[in-house]
Amino acid sequence: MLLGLLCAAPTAAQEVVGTVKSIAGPALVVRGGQSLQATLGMPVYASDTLRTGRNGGLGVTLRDDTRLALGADTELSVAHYAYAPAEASLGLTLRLIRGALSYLSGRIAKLAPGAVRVETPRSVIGVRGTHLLIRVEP
Amino acid sequence: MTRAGGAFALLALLVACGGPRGDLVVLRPDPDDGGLGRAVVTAAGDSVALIGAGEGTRVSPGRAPTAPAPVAAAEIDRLFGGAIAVRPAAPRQFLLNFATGSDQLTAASRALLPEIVAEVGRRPGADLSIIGHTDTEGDAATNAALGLRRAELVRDLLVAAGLDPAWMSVRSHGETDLLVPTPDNTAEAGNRRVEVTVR
Repeated sequence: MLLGLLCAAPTAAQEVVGTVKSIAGPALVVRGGQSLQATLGMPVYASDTLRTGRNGGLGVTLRDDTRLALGADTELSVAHYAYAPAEASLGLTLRLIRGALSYLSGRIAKLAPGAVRVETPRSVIGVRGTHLLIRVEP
Repeated sequence: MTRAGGAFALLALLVACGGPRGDLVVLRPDPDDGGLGRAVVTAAGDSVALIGAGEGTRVSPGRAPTAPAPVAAAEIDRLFGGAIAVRPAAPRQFLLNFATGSDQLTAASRALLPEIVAEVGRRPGADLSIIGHTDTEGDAATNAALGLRRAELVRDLLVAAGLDPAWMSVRSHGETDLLVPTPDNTAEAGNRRVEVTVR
């Protein structure tokens, strides 16, 4: 029972931050070392890494209506996500390791300008809305 | 390998990888409402601001970002066409209103329920957020509970209409998120609402 309680305790890693909305070609959600084939409606957790293969594509809408779209050969993770307007807790950090990302801002960017950024292996992008295209060739 | 062969192999490698090593960041107008944001790109201790539509900056390994310059449509297409093709549709929001202090939807709001169900049907992998709100009449704790009751009522109506509760997140913002700004202890029909977002 104790184990059950421990497993049931919510952690940041278990928080659902978004949902898979569109898929083209090979697209994976990497969760706890396991690679899962992305499916429409699949939840995305804060600690997940999204990965597409050759000719792949993956669209995800986050809980605050932020819209992400990954092109082929792309790897992206949600490094930080806070969306609790009632507690004034707002923030989004994306980590684009490689590939192509289309970013469309949601409510976090609207409510807390300056709270959204995208990190790549060599730059940091402070995003104040609304639509950005980012490409990383590592 | 001949020199020409070597050059060809290098070109093939560049094409396969999509281009030289580095980052490209492009600021674009919002595809839905045309609104333009702003971005600041920082690398190697230097920052560049993107403020014009279609402006881009490039970051080579170990270098500062380049001065903003327009990026050709053909390059956007080549590098981002795949991502743009899978961009999720804009979420759609519905506002449902309640009679004073009650759990009863107004007739006009009740008529919106079939439209919400239809919108979910048009979106593969849809999820819904259902957020209950109150006006500022009464104390905050009571209103937090009332907001949740309203949100749960809408959830139950949507489930009765055939939607899966597993797709729904239900919460209350109580009196903390007013649509119509008012002082405390003010009855305001516009604030007694449930916001349903279909994503």
